[in-house]
Amino acid sequence: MNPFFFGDSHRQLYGVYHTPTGQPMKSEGVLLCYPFGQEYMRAHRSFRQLAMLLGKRGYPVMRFDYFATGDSAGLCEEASIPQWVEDIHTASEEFRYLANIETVSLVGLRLGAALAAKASERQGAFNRVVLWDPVLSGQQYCDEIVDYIRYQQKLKVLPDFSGDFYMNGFPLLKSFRQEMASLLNLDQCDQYKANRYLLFNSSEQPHFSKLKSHFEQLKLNFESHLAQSPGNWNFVDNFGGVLIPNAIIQAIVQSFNL
Amino acid sequence: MIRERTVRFGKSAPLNAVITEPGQIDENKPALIILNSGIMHKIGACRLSVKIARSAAVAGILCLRFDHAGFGDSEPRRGTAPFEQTAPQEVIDAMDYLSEFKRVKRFALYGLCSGADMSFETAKIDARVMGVIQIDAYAYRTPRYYLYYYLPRMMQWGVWINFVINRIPVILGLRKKQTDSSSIGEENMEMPSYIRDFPPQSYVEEGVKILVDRSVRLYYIFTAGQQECMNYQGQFRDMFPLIDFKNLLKETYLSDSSHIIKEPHNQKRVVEDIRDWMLQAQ
Repeated sequence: MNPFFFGDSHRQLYGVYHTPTGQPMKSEGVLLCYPFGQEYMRAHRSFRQLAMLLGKRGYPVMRFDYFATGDSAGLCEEASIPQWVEDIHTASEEFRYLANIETVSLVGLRLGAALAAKASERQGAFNRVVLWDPVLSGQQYCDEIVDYIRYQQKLKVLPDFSGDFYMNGFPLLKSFRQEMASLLNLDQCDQYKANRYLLFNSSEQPHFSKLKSHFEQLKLNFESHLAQSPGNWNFVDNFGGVLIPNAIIQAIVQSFNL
Repeated sequence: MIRERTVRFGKSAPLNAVITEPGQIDENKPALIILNSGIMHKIGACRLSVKIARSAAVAGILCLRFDHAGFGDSEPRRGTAPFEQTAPQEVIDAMDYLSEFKRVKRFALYGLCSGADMSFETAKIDARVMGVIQIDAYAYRTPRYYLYYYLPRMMQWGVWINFVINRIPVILGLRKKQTDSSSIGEENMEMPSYIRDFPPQSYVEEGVKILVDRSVRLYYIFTAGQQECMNYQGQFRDMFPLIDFKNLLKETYLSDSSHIIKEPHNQKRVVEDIRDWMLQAQ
């Protein structure tokens, strides 16, 4: 594990490079795209585990924090979807140089999957894109979060969620939510340019079927997998317990054998 | 203008850290070392550790946030020594690193939950520690705690009704106590290896006395997230009536804060209070 900062020195990003431990070293690297907020906190350990397992199979792996998240520069309130999509490309370039590889694939979880899909609209940028329990639409994601806050706080009188608000300590500013709603719509986009798309779901959910149908209509090189696992990434406990859904992690790692 | 860099240090295990440097480093000022909170990686709950480090660095204080071995971005340690043994040594490694490469001689340690415990343990054994900031540290009920706990409840009909319907059958053995069962299997969870059992109060008292005798400055922040044992401002001082804290103790009770301080106004307050305390503690 080699942590480092990269990118513009005024907006530096924090990344961790995992040198492959298995042989032979693959010429394809895997860039991991984190989810957002509490989901990021809870997924950090799983990403490390995924990186280690892929590394054992010879894949160089890099994970990184988007601007204004984790160890990267920026205030939480400066989060921006276009910036994060651009950060994926910046990280990918850094990764290619660092690992001396030509091909990069993406694995994104939840919002990270939606960002990975968005980043893959650029021609020739990525080989495979793994969408792990993806957020299908930014608007739907925001609605889910509002529902979660209502449930979590046992709210009887509904406050106004049209302005800025926080979820488990992470800001969801109005401008950020508008960006999510307008830019992240996986089941409407028709500009997917990666060579292959893989959808991994931890549970049967109707909106995943919708995405599957959409990909089939686009005649993408696409496959879908169900690996039953816990998927409540937003849960907060007082003990710092983190979620490591082994079944789906193993399934994703297995898919890189093919 | 502050600057952040990744660094690696550690004698017995390589530990990865981010150092946050002020524009100019004053070797005579204490540096702030930020420990992991539970199993969370070095950004801290809700990114609180990052905010504390950057705010302090803007005020001229050198900060280091690191992951203990096996946590976050640090490799696991070989061997079987428990976390409560290895963690203080790793904090000492962090101090050694800053002493050697930044010429800093004195340190303040910050920690939340298990980080608070390890800050305390390290401060007891290393004289370079001049201050400790602990959030939700070990706490013990006092007579006033019980008063504040029970008095409002005794005024509520709902509590009495609940007692009659739910508690009396349990006390009489007519019904089993309901326990919380998680739907997530253990194989899909990773819990901290460090089990946080509060030691006897006399153990903590002895430790606090060691620190006070050494004139170590103490800043205790408690949240309502630990209200099973802490519920009022000033309780820490009341826990140890035999200790003369002189002017070394500062205490804050955040009555509307969760354990991980996820409320923005509480985060802001903690960040600013720690920065100000560090500036005064010099």
